[in-house]
Formats: sequence, structure tokens, C-alpha cells
Amino acid sequence: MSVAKTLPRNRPLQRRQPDPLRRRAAAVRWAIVIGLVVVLEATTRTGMIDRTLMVPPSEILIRLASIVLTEQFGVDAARTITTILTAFSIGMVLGIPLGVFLWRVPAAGRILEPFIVTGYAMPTLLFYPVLLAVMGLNAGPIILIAASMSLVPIALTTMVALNSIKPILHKLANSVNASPTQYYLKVLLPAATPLVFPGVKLGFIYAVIGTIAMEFILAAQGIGFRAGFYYRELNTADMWAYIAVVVVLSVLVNSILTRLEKRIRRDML
Amino acid sequence: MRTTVTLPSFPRTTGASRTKSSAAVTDNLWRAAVMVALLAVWAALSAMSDLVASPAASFTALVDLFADGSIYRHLNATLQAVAIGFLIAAAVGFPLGYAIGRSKFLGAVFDPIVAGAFAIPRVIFFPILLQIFGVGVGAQSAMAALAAVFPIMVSTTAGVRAINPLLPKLARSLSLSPLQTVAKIYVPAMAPSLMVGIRIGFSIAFINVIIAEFFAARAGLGLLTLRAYGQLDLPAMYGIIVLLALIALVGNLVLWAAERRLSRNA
Repeated sequence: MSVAKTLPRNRPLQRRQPDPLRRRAAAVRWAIVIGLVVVLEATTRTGMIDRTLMVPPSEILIRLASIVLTEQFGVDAARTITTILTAFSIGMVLGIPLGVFLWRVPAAGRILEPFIVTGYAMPTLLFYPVLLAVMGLNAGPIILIAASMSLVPIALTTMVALNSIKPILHKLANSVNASPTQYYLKVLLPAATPLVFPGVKLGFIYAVIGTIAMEFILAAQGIGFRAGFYYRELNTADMWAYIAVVVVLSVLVNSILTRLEKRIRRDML
Repeated sequence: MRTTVTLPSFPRTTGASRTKSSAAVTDNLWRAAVMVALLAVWAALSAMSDLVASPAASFTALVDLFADGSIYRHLNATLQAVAIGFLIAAAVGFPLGYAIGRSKFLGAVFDPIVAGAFAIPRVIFFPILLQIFGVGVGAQSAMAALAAVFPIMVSTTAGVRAINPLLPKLARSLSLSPLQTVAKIYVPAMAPSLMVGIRIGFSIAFINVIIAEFFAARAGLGLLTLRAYGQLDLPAMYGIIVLLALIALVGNLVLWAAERRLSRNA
């Protein structure tokens, strides 16, 4: 059940009281997360978990605070974030027209379906060594791989969204003599946006995953690279600090996008 | 209000094309043409750049690797890690996903956690796995399991929630035991989404094994690829990449065909 269906029709902007089930669920969820951190703290402090494997969460936090202020972190974070945003932008710019094309030409969609299905499983990562050979050790290969990963869900949901638009809208556009431009901008875009958003969200998440995973394997800069680098240096505390950065960044991005999604889908009835 | 990660599903364009087998043949011809076009692009690129080996040289290098038997150790290591990792992920992911889907309360508790975990690049935890399992197939399998478990959970949960609410009532009216209810009612109704989970799970397990092998491994196709890159043995590198792409393609197409068959019968 999405929120759009449970909301009363004529009061889309009124904030509902959170129901007791969800409040209890949130409490239990936080208890689980905090409990986990406490258990990790206890086991690492008492030495049940070796220090070479993990340092106590409190120490990770302290390391984190000191790392965030360093110039190196700024450079790494800037590199990673620009890579993610570039990859995602390419994914959008290529993915949406591709989705429109697959919708306009159903035969192409049918023919390319097996390729897209396979592409959805992200084997584009396999071409990383090829791109390294061709482009060298810079952000280029990482951007291309992350963009190709982010493109697929965006293209697919665009196609599915356009296919599910009510036929009456096409007739309406015809009846008012809408120009093709008007048809796309005033009819299709508003009708499809709420449906496309989950795919765009997934595309962004894939851009994050792709970027950090690629940096982790082979890069010269970036947050993902730094985590792998400190592992090789046997510097557990710093490695965990960077892992924490990645975890927090991913979860934050996910929750922001989820909130945005609810906003956008709310007025869709 | 849900915070699940939805995997966009394909529109069912397949039902109509079955009646026209000639259309299917034409489609397959077009697909073959796309493959040939991709090969042609590759050949053109190799003619333009020294860094791209020609298709012929790459296939020859791949055949040579099989001929002298040196590739089998790596192929085994990779496939073993994918299989073990996927089986662990399935054994954990399906029951958990089912439980989260069945219970409103568990769903409210765990949906955001699963969605958040889905968004984290799980590869980042590979160094920890290396320290626990040592460098070898164990760490690779654990990586695959950790990566594949969330997509499997997400699609199982979505599958349970999409079940027609009449079906559980039917089970009650027939006074089926809980085990019978799951086996006879839920699993058949969920078959398509279970297959989606299996396909995405397999793919993500495979990809993560390769990434993990790029990072650190004793044997494996990913390691072999990077080694070939390091020795500038480009034909061998492209040959192994073709093999990896083939494994992904064939595995996906087989599972995808099964998925479509199931959703047609559902």
C-alpha cells in the first residue's frame, strides 16, 4: 500500500497522524540499530572481535571527526560526488530518450529486450579493464561504467511509465490540436513523472554503487579508493572510518530520494 | 507508506507474439543482427586502436587458454564462489523476505533497513571478509552472499505483497496446514517474482565475485583478467571478458526464459 492510495482524496496536503503500528515499528527499528552498535562496541572493547578486524564504533566516530576536516578527505569526497553526479546525469540524458524510443518503437523494445535484461544484471562492470586500457587510470572509466548501470533502470521505467499512460490523454492531446512539443511537455511529462521516479531513484543508487565499487577496485582517488587503500596499509581505524562514510552517504541518499518520491507520488491519484 | 526498492518489471509483450511464430523468427534474426553489429563495432575499434585486440585474436587467445587447461582452475574458483554465495543468499533471503512480506509489523520495521542496505555498495565490506576468511574462495563466496541477499529479499517481499488477498482466505477455507499453505498456495502464486529474485540474485552474485577477484584473490576469472591487463596480454584479457559476458548472458537468458514461462502460466 503506497501512501497515495491511503490518503483521502480531497486533502492531499494535510499531515496525517502517524499510526501506532508505524511508531512502534520505528521504535523497534532504532532499538535494533542502536543495539547492534552497542554489541559491536562491547565485543570490540573486550577483544572478542580482534582490533585488526574492527575498532570500537566510538573510535570510528572520533577518527571520522578528524578525517572529515582534512584536505585529503575534501579532495576524495569532491571526486566521488562529481563522479556520481556526472554518471547519473549521463544516465538520465541517455536513459530517458532511450525509454521514449523503446515506447515509440515497440518492435525495438521487443528485439532489444534480452540485451537490456542482461544489461540490467550489470555485466558492464566486466568492461572496466578494457576501459582502463583505453582511457587510463582516471575518472573516465568509472563514470562510463556507473552511467551504464544507472541508465538501464531509468530507460526501463520510462518505457513502462509511458506504456501505462491512460489512452484518453492521447485522445485529449489530439482533440486540442497539441503540437508534438506540447504533447511531450504538457501531457506525457506530467503524466509519466510519478511513475518514472522509482526508476530514477534506482538509477541514482546504481550510480552511487557503481562509482564506489569501481573506485574500490582500482582508482587513484575517491572515497571508495581510500577504503581499499587503508586496508592494504593495514590501517583498520581509517578503513572503518571510510566504510562508515560510504554507509552513511548511501543511506542518506536513499532516504532523501525516498522522501522525494513520496512527495512526488502524493498528488498522483 | 513503503520504502522498498522496486525492481521495474517488464511489460508483458510476449503473450501476443506467441501466436505469430514468424514474428518470433524475425525478432531473433534482428537480435542476431544486433550481435553481429556489436562484433563489427568491436572489429572497427580494434582496427583504430592498438589498445583493443581484434575479435579473432581474442577468441583465439580464449581457445588457447582452454586448450592448455590453464583456465580451468580459475573458471572453477569463480563458478564455485558464485554458486556457494548464491545458495547462501537464497537460503537466507527467501525466508526473510517472505516473513517481512507476510507481517505488516515486520515490514514496517525492516523495509527501511533493507532499502538502506540495498543502497550501500556492499563491496566496501570485502576487506573485512578477507580478514575473516582469508584470501580465497571463502571470502569471494561470502561477498556474493552478502551482495545477493538484499535483492532476493526485496523481490520476495514484493512478491508476497502482490498476492491476491483471496488466496490466503481460500487456504483457510480449505483448512490447509501452514506448511501446505506456503507450498500449495504461496509458492505457486509467487513463482514469477521468485524467479526475478533468482535472476537478479545470480547476476549480482556473479558481478560481486568478479569485483572481489579484481581486489584480491588466489584464483578466478577476475584475477586472470587483471593479470592479463598487467602483462599487457590484451588478446587474452578481451578473450576472458568475452567468456565472462557469455556466462552472464547465457545465465540471464536461461533464467529469464524460465521467468517468462512461469508468468505466462500464472
